[in-house]
Amino acid sequence: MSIKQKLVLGLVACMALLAAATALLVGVGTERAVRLAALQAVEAAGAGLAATERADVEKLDATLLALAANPALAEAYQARDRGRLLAVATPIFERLRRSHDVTHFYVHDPAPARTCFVRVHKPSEFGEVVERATLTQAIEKRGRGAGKELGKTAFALRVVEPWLVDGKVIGYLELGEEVDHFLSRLKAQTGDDYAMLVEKRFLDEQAWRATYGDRKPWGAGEVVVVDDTTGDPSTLAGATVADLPPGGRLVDELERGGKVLARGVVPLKDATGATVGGVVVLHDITALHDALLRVRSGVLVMLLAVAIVMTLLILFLVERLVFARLSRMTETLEDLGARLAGGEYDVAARAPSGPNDEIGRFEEFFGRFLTVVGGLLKELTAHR
Amino acid sequence: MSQLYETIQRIEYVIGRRNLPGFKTKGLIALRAGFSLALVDASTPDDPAKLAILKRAAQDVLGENV
Repeated sequence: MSIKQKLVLGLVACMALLAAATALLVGVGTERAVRLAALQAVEAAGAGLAATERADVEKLDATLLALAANPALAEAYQARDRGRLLAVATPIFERLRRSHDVTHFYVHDPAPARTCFVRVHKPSEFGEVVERATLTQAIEKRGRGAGKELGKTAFALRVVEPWLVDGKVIGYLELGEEVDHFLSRLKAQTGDDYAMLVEKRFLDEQAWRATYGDRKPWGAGEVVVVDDTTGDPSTLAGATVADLPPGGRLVDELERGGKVLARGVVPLKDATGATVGGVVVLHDITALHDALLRVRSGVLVMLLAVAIVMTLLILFLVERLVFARLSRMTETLEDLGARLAGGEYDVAARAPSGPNDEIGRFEEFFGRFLTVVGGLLKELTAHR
Repeated sequence: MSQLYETIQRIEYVIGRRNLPGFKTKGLIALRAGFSLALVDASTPDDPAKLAILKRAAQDVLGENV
């Protein structure tokens, strides 16, 4: 194999290696970019959920302040007239339920009693001591207590405000809403799909089965699906809520119906700040995925083109600067060598001269060498 | 006259007849034979081995027997 062939093979091997290494790097970088974007989408979804909750807390809180300023309600409560209070509160509650998804309306007695004076949404039940964290917050802070709280089967967002009349706490007003509609509202805002998972240890299985039956199956595993906008339970497979970081976790990427979806889980916290489950987020990253794949393909094509051009350029330069001159030099030296051997001793004049580079210096040296050898042979021949 | 010298004379004749470059053709034959033709003269003693090599080299370069 000639040096030129070895050089071509070496160059092609180097370029192939370089292209493969760069392709690998681009591939890894693309995957990282997709994962990072997907994780950011999951975190944004978690932030969106929190923002929706905050907005609802503000809405319920503003409503509570308006209710607290209603003199008819205050008079009925201060008179301990449950019937009159219900007569005033029920129409208000019905409007709130129809227009603002409010599902719970309570009036609680002040501490230390903490008894439920009336449930406007369920008038037949009252009188029990309320131990919920949101009421405790409101009592301790003498201000708003808010957060999501689990019942036996439901997960509700509750807001409690002290009921102040002439600067004195006469009781506590509480409004709540089931969180089920959160996810459909969030889906309408973001286009993402969500599923709310709650760890079973926080729920009552019998109460759950009695309430929901087959509509929301208890199922196997550690969590139960409280609400789901995906419409495809298989998308929840493998999504665990254990050891979730505060910002959430990217689980994987799914392909569904020609779309690429980033699947992540963000923590679901109750009013005490304890993690009771997670919200699975399915964010459509098809456009990002396709764009990054196009970039990767473009980079690879560009890389291949650059590798081919570089190989051809290097080969052209080596051929032009080295091999072509070596070939010419070999032909010339073979000719001069033959002439010298044939008795033409002044061949040095025909010796090639080139630029002052590595090959040029060798040609010059060989010319001088031929001069000396030719002169020597001429002398020897003359003295015979 | 030695056969070696005589062979070289015939080589020069062929070169002249075919109008070939003298020095180069003789040089190519010398390189193949392994000795300089210019150093052979009429008094050079014969060497059968050298003679055989010279004839073969001339045959290779000139393409004909000498």
